[in-house]
Amino acid sequence: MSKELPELLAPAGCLERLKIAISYGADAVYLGGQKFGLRSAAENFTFKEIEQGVTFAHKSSRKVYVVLNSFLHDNELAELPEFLRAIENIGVDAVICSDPGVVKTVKEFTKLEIHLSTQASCNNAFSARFWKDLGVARVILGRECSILEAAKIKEQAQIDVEIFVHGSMCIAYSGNCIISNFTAGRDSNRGGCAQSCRFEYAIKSHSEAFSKNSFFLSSKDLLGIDHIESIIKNKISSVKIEGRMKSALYLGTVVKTYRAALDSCASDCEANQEMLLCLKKELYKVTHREYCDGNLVKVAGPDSVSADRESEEMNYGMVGVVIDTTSKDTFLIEVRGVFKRGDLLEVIPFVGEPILVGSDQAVGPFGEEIVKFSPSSLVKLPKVAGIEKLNIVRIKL
Amino acid sequence: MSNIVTYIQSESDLELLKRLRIDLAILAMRPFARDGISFDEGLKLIRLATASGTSISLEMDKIYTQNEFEIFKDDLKKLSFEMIASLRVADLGVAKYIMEFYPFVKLELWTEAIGSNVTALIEHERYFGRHLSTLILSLQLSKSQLANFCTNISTDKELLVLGRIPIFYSPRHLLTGRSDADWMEVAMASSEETPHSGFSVVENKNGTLMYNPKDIFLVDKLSELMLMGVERFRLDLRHLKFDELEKLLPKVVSSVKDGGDSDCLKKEYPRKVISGYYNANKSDVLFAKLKNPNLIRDDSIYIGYVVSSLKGKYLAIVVDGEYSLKIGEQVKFVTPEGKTVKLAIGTLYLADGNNVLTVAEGVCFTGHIKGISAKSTVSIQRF
Repeated sequence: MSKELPELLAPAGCLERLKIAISYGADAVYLGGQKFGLRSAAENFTFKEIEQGVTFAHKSSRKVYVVLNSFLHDNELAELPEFLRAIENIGVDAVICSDPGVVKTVKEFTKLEIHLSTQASCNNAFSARFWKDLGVARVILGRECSILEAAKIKEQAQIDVEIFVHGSMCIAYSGNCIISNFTAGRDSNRGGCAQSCRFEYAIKSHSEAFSKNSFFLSSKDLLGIDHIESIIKNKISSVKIEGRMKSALYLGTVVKTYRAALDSCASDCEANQEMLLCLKKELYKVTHREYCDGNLVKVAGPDSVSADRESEEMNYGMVGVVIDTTSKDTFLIEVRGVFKRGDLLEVIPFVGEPILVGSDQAVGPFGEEIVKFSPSSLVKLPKVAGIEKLNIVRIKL
Repeated sequence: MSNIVTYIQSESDLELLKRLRIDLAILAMRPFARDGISFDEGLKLIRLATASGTSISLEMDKIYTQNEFEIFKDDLKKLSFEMIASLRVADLGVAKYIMEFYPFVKLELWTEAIGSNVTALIEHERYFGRHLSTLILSLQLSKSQLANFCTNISTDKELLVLGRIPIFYSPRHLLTGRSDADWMEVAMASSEETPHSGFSVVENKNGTLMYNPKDIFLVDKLSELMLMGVERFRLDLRHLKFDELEKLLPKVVSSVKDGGDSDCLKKEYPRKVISGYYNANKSDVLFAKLKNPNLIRDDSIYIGYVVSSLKGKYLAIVVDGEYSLKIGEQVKFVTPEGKTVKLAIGTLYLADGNNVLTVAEGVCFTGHIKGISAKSTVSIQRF
């Protein structure tokens, strides 16, 4: 008998990445429209793109959630009903809100399911019950909650719970950091976070021990793959990957890895630890800061904070995305990272081991001889079985 | 007449308030408050305040995880509610719990993170009903927003008009790494990556807090705020020395009651001040600059985008699928820099080199167009 698995929820910063997330195994994606979200710098989706994303996702019974988690001012709230009607007509599956005014507006103008954003810092069952009373169907808990706490909240509030399982973390209680607002004139809770927590600070204290230069506000990234079994056992409703601004390489790799981890734990037998270890190694191949497991098991301690600025590790680079496989003998890659002819490339299939592809025969789309491939060029390679459109291509650095 | 409310941290503070006839004080004590005095000191002050006729509004602005909430429920039992006029709550779970299990207690709700529009505040009024006595307004509201809030909200409203601005709250212990006993560590932090320096950082058992280097000063706006209908003005001067407080507080009281000289007060204030977002909140005007408008597609005419451009050879276009790309069709290219080229498509072929008349979806090629680079959008040219 199979265990019930949580939904695997992935970020979609643009339509291509939505398709990549779904293709690599996400059960659902979350995306932002041109307004009302918290990632003003992201490409975000036009209505047509949302519609195309929904069509793509629904074809394989996956879901699409739209973020409306900005703290809206009254003038913006007045514009919300029109936006809501449009996305409801498109058929999105839920909206993610953080503001009681937005929740009320969604309830008033649509029948859309409402998920509470982590921005609302809902961390206990009474808070979850408050939001449930307002009409929220699922709470995305603060990253301060452990898996066991999430399970208790689900049980006590009788509401679906979603937790973050991978990616960058706010070090503050979400919604409770307004450093950008007062130092950069950019409202962090309305889409303009200036990432002040990633700065280096000179700390002066009466105590010598604490006086130092430090990135003391910079959290390590969350890595939850070690706790997948516990997440399943505790019946968490949904696990979320952070990163609407992250690359296709990050997205494809992380989604595929968590999909495989969840599926490997689906059967009644214990998860294959060797396999999980192997999967975990994949997560070290994408750009990331040092990893920690946040508060998933115990309260995050001093080892959850990065000591150095550029702790982002990068041992694999993005080469590009497969954009055409219609030719009988060749396939085309849209190049997004530099590589040289002769380099060994790895194509990441939607399922299974990476496919090694030599680039000795790499040429331009019409056979042009090229030695060094740069972003915004196309490369044609002889066809290899198993390679599909939207596969990510990477290279070991 | 609007009221002043301020924090007490010691018997001296309490006596000062008595002298100035301020009869409501905020007490922030751990474990309920993010930043405050110890529990024992707090209980002692509550007793003294009660004996001297000063009402206490107890700060309860900590955010609780599920496990902490269980401890909170026990901590709550240690309080004598007959000595507490109201609770100042930030966690909506705490507010709901108080409403259900301590229905006789008045709630004052922090709305910094849950009150950026009138509808949100009306929802809080509706939900908490008679239990809600005050809405503690966000410091990021402009005067026009405040006026709008005051027009539409019947519950009493409180605004910070003088004192330190909290800008960061984390449960992690970021200075010392300690998480054991009750303690407090204070430091100053500055970064070369921001022009602002001297962020006051406080760490205690509840986590780490950071304050803006400059304090809010809206004392010169009090008459305006009173006219709007803000019922209560809060001062947070806990970071000042008592002798500074002793000099300042009477002048602030005078400003409220008799329209005292706020310019003089501003000069005497021991820290740099700002008026924050009071005059205008333009903290979202930069958002438009974060994104290149030339890359946002117009759904009604969008065909696709240029994926690659090889000088003298070809333009590679990815057709999105909504509109086909056809030979002879008038199209418009817009580069990321905003340059526009309008022309009719002359040739069209696929990756295998075969010419086609139309492409419904996927990669196709046309002749190279000078000045059109990768990422340019391709749209139907309508006349």
